[in-house]
Amino acid sequence: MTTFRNNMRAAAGLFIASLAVATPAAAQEAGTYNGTMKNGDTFQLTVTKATSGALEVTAGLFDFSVAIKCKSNSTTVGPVVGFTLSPPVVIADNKATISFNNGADDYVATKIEFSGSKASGDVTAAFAAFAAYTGHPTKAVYCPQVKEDFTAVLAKAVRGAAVPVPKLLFY
Amino acid sequence: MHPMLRTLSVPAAAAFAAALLSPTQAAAQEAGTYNGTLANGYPISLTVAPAATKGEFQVTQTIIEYKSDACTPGKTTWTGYVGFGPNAVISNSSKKVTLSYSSIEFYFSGYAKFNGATATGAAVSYVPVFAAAKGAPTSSVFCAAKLQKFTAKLGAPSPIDTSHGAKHAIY
Repeated sequence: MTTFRNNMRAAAGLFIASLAVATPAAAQEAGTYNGTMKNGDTFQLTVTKATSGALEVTAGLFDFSVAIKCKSNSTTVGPVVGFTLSPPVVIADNKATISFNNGADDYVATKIEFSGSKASGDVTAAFAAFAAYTGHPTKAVYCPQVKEDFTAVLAKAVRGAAVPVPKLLFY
Repeated sequence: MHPMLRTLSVPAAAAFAAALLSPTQAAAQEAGTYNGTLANGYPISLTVAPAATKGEFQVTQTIIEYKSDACTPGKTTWTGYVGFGPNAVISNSSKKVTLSYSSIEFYFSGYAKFNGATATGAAVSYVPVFAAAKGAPTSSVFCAAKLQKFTAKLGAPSPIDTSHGAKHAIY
């Protein structure tokens, strides 16, 4: 589909690739965690260090490339959803729970537990869409993503290299 | 009668008239933002800029805002605005442009006709959204900005209430 969500996929792929540089094992720290869900979908979460010294999750970018089936009919969607968290979600006891609803048609929720430079957890999501891709729309459908477990690893950009952040990706 | 006009030849008079008309023609297609409302009160905004071909103008952005009575079932009170960048060229002869967008998450169909600093036209658009704007959604609803005529004025204050947020980034 020629939507904003899917138009972002190419840019998101480049963005993720630019960050996917292996780093040595480290204690939990700020940076971008690249994750892969059990079904193969990918995502990244940005962890930053607040002035208070606390680590917090500030942004997320999820690529649901595995088709999500909508209820009531055979329509499927495969969106890319990016967002910033305001306020950020503070990581407490190495854990964070994130829930993002854009107030319209994108919902992503994740529970994540950090362990050194790794993380694990699960993701659920839902989307609103038209019942059909073509023609004059007459009906909305609900498209839920079943809960998927994931693992993630900390990635860092090459020191000194500028990382192009596709700002349009974010709400 | 002014002596100069009395001696003016027919071709020269035509050229003179054309020269007098040119400011009006320019005003018929001016770059800028045309803000207005549909007949039902839903805000609409059209941004006009020069097109790639010299002397032509195009609509580079169209935004429409949905009010709380747009969605069915009627109890849903979603509000928000949706935009798209049609880059649709305005006909130099008719001063008219067709505006359309269709995806799994937004549909718009309409036209605008420019006359001086005023644009008139008609538009219809639809969006699917969650029934619940916060928390974990469980269903979707269909929202319609039904077919309505509109009038928009160049430089008029923006009618879009950005506090409601965009369904998607304007692009």
